[in-house]
Amino acid sequence: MKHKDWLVSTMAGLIIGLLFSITGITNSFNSVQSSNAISSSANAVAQMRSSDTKWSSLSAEGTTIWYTDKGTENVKMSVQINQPNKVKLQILQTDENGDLVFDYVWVTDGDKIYEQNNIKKTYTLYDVPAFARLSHADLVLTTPKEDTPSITRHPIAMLMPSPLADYIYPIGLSQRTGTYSLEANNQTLGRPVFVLDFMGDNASEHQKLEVDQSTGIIIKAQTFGEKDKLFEETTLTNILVDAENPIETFSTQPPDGFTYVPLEEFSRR
Amino acid sequence: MNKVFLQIRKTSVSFIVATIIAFLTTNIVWAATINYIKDGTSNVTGYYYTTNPCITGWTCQDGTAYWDYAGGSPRLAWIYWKPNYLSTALRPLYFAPFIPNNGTTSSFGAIYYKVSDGRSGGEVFFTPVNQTNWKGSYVNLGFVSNGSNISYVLVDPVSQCVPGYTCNGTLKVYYDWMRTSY
Repeated sequence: MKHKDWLVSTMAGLIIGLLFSITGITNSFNSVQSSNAISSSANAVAQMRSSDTKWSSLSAEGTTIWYTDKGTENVKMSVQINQPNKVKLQILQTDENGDLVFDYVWVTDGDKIYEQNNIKKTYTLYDVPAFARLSHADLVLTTPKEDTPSITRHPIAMLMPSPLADYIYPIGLSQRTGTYSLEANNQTLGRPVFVLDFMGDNASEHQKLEVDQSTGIIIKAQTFGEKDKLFEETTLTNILVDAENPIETFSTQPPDGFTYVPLEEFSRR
Repeated sequence: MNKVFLQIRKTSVSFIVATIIAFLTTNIVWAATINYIKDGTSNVTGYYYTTNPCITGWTCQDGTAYWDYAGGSPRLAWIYWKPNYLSTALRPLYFAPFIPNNGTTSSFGAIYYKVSDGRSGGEVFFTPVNQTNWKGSYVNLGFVSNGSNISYVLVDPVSQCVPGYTCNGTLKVYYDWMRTSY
């Protein structure tokens, strides 16, 4: 071959190599080779990553207990969801003295977001932001490429004010840097679960997660704080999957006796 | 035979040139859209805080970060992130704060970030973030849908308790660089 031909071949090789590195094709080959060693925890994380595609509706109750320096705080929640964008969330929260700090309702019908403060008898109503009208996949696709990718949570989880948000939509948690280890395959509340232990990079976070094997939803989470003491425990109960909730569940109409306040004023809790 | 070979070679060269252009278009252009709102640079206004040295052993951007108690003080008017530049094209403007990593399992607080496009009746939304979950990462807050022809776009941490999270004045929240696009 002539010099030019060698040059053309070399360029082609470089470009193809570059394309492979960009598209991650070689990574796919590598991951196939090592898949036997990590298949169990990888499967569990994959379930978390694609969780929102594995169920169409959800009804559940949840509890979160916070173990703080001042005592325990209790949160009781109920949630109804019709995918992709209808959610009703109710929260009753007491502080370490047992005093009520939140009696709160958050609803979206996919077009509006409605929030209701049952203590102050106020509510607010505003448009669902444009980003939350996208699916997670579309939101990621429209995000500019970055050297170190930002974590992109599920759009509904990005708006929903509750610890349940990232457990029901665990796609954000699946993107964290750290190590997920599969500890067991168990049954919780009659549902097969993966029991995962997560340790963040530089030992920054320690969690134990029970991931529902069929839906990828995290039905129990324990977060450990300073000196690895239990800090948060969240549990989902009375889980009903794929039984569509009545549409009136997601009404954004206030009850009688409640006063409208603009979002910014409402948010000054 | 030579003619056929020459044609193949020309086609190959064309393909390669096209591939290079495609690569530059899809990567270099996108890469140029990422920016960081950080202290001490000219491309930002409003990053009003007294920078604290990053504690030894922590991962912070440029070695500084700031903290306050979650929900423990009046509205944090003294800190916000505002890009000096705005898009000249109709495209979303994204924001993603960096959450420092303190290298221990001690917990951070949960806060709301308020994102607003500054127009009367324009886009405004609140994104709750449990900072414990995202240590050492940039976490996407979403976008305002039109990053152009707007007087300003602002991200403002709001000192209020997030429903469902502990908020008894003992947990801290941390502020560092904000990644944005335009």
